[in-house]
Amino acid sequence: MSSDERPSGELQKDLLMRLPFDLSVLVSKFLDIEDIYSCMLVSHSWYKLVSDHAVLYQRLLQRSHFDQEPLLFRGPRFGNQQNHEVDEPGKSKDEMDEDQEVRIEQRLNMQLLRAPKVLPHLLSKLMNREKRWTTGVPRMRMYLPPVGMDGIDADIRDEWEGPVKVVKIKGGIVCVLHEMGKTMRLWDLDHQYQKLRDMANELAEEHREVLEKNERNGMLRSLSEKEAGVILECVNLAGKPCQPKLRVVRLRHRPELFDFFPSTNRLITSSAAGIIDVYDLETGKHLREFRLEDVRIGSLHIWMEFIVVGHGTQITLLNHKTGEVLEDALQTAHQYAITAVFVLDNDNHMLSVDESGVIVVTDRSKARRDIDTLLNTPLHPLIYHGNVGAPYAMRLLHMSHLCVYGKYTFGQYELYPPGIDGLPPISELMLIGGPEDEQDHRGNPPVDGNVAAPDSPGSADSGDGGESAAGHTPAASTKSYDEERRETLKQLLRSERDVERMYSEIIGDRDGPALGGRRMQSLRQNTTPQNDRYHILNINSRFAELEGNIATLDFRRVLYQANGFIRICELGGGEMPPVEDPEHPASDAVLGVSLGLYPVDASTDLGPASREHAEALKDIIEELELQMPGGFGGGEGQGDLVDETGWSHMLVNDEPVDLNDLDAVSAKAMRSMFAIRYATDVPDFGRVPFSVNYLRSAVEFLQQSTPDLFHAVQNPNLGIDALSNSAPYYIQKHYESRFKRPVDVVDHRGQVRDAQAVMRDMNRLYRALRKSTAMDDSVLIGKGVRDLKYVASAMDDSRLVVGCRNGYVVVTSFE
Amino acid sequence: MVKLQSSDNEEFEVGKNVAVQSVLIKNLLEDLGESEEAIPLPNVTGKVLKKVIEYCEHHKDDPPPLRDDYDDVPKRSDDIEPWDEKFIKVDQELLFEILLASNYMDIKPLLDLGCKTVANMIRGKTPDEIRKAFNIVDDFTPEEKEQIRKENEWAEDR
Repeated sequence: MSSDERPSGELQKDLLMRLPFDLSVLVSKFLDIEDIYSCMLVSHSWYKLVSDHAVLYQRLLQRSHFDQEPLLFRGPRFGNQQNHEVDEPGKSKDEMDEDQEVRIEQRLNMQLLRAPKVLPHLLSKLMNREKRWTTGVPRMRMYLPPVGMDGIDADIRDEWEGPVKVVKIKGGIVCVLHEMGKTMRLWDLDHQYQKLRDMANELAEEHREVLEKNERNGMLRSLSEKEAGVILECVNLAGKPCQPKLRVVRLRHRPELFDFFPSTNRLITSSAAGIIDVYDLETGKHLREFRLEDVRIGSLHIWMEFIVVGHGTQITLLNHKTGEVLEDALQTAHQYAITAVFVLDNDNHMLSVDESGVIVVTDRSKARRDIDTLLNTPLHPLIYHGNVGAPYAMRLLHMSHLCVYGKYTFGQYELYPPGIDGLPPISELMLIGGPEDEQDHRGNPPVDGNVAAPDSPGSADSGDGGESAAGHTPAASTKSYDEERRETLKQLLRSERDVERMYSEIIGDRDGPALGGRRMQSLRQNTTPQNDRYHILNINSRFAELEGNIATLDFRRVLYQANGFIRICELGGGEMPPVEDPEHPASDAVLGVSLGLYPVDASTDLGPASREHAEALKDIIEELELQMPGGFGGGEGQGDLVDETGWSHMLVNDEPVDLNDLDAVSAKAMRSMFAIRYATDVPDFGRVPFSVNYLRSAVEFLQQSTPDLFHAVQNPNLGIDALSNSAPYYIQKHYESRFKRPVDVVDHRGQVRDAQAVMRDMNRLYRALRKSTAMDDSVLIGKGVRDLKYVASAMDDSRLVVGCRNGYVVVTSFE
Repeated sequence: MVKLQSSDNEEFEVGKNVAVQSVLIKNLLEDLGESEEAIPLPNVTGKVLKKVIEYCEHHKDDPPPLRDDYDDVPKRSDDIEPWDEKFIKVDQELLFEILLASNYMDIKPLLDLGCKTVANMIRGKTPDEIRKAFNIVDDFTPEEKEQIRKENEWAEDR
């Protein structure tokens, strides 16, 4: 029913619908989510109003968790809209089903999954929709520059702060900390755009003289209209050809860790000296400072006005709005350093995981009351140990579910509703791993959390949560205590009954025997059917054997990083899968689907690879090989051709690729690329057509003018980074890609880039060199920035993935 | 003193400290300076303007509201002062007009009061009760209702 069809009497009385839109939003701010859901059932128009992002999403965001804020939230469109849109009538059943499915997906991406029974319902719907696995094709990709373009007139070398250390993405805001940085780089992917096409034109105009000169010398050609259009498109949901502006927040102290909360515009950093600074995310203004004396901060998290800090085995809770220290060094049940900590939604409970894989819920209100308990605090230690090994990281999803995941394996995720009540009984969490002797063999005694630490989680520094393992070791004084506990906990591991007794005793110590029993009962009480209680979502175990980390995941997808690549996998579903042993993966167990293998350096597409191009390249390579002693592939000859085109084919079709071989394959491809692209782009050769004569001349020219590169091209043992670093800057220019996702554009840092980025760099370069045309490689190629390995990644709402290498952040948008 | 003129040409003379509670008027006075001329408020009727002035008169000595840095933080609606509660006990039509007027005149405390009142009319009520309170026709089919209920059954069970 449209608004016109509504009875006039109703229009006169329906106060909320008559209000301007922004006032409706304002009213909703005073309502609980439950009330808002009641509103959904009032009428079509109310349903529409409530379902509208501007009302519901914002309202939900207020309660939102934590670690993940929805990308889709884009703030209310304020304005004096007198009439709200009303649902279109007469939708077919199919359309309704489709709408419902979309809604379900949206909800999974929003924060509607608070109640324990929602997840089973929605997930089963999602997962059983005829096994219609989607294949995620990146919608677009863009590069975020490591140094600012506007208003920063410093030397590029001064601005360079080294490779990316940690990247986080929340609510569409990418926040990056560089290794040597005393600044925080931020891009708001939803807002704050600059139009690149205009910028490109302005830049071109500004530096016309230089660019023309470059063009004449084959250094850099200007962009065609079409290329600019393709390159400049980015993840703005409106699809405008523009790029987010870089914002640089100058920090007071060099940060070790950081976190931010977009809803309240707060950024927090912690330094090695234990200083926590609070900044305004938007203005960069410093707002407050907290000093934690004599501690090494191992994890940092901000939610609403709370800052929760894990240091050693203790937690400190701060209120950055009031400056209050709510809890000062609260002792937890951890015996090993805390690697990730969250404050739960009622700010009384804090959830933390330590190096050894023990998850602890600490109740601060109880801690205040009972200080004479076993460890001076009421404890809910949950020993998590499955085949995945220790959960090196965890993530709270949409404020509704806790997700823990192992470092090395892809196999298993568990999602738990947070809070004491939501957590499964302790015994349920005791997923006993391999046999004791195997654990002993690894040097990890099967006691306490130690059983859950087959490998050191020390490199867990790149997860989206960013709660880096700080490399703490337990204090020496706890050694004997550990041994004591070890014996006790051995018993604990024996049987569920022992577990119960053990915890009954612990709890009984605190609350008295009678209460202890009750509490134990309440801990065990879980009326949800076993199969719905929590979800173990497996994804394709084919990758289990690969070295790498799960960077982050949410309800739909997993971001996996390995060997310079990131992989996105969709979580599989259907029947509850068995817990799989990663050592012996079932070959036919395809429980998820890979969405493809994406090199983090893949360029912006400039057009799909055509068969003609591939054939042309093949011819060129053959010709070129004839010209070059030893060929490109170190005597492998035709194999290279197959490899190169095959590599492209593999990427295009998302076939499984042995990641261990990728560097080698890439190097071969690079080798050919350099020569071919160089041959086709050098001055006086033009770009097309390919010609044997041109190539011959090109090879001669390559040999004479760039002996380093020539040597590198000939040397099959050189790695990809050495190869790219051998090339002088002017050869590493913008190349039009003939492949869909090949190595494409390489700059002086060995980074794969798009033309716009190269142009920007050129601009900075000339500024840095004070427009001197003398190009000195040694100035430009720093030894410290040669590592081509992918260092950090993060995912936002299953839609945006950022990967970093060196200073550049590559954002890939899916769907 | 400041003169205000409503849309139905009714004039009100109020103290400056009363008038400047409206950010709209405050800005006008700063921009144009004080004058004998009445400030026209074409979106506010005399009846509503009288009510708004009554509110501003009562709150003229209140300290300026603290700027809320956390606009997105959930707000409370159970903290209405007794006088305000009595003041805002009006029919829905007048409440609607007051909300529009306070929005137009940019009087945040009054706007908040109005929104809280509307929120309180919704809070804790079932959909049926809300429909009754706002005189809304239930235009859902039973199937649609069941569908929505199913989708949100968890919210009802909480």
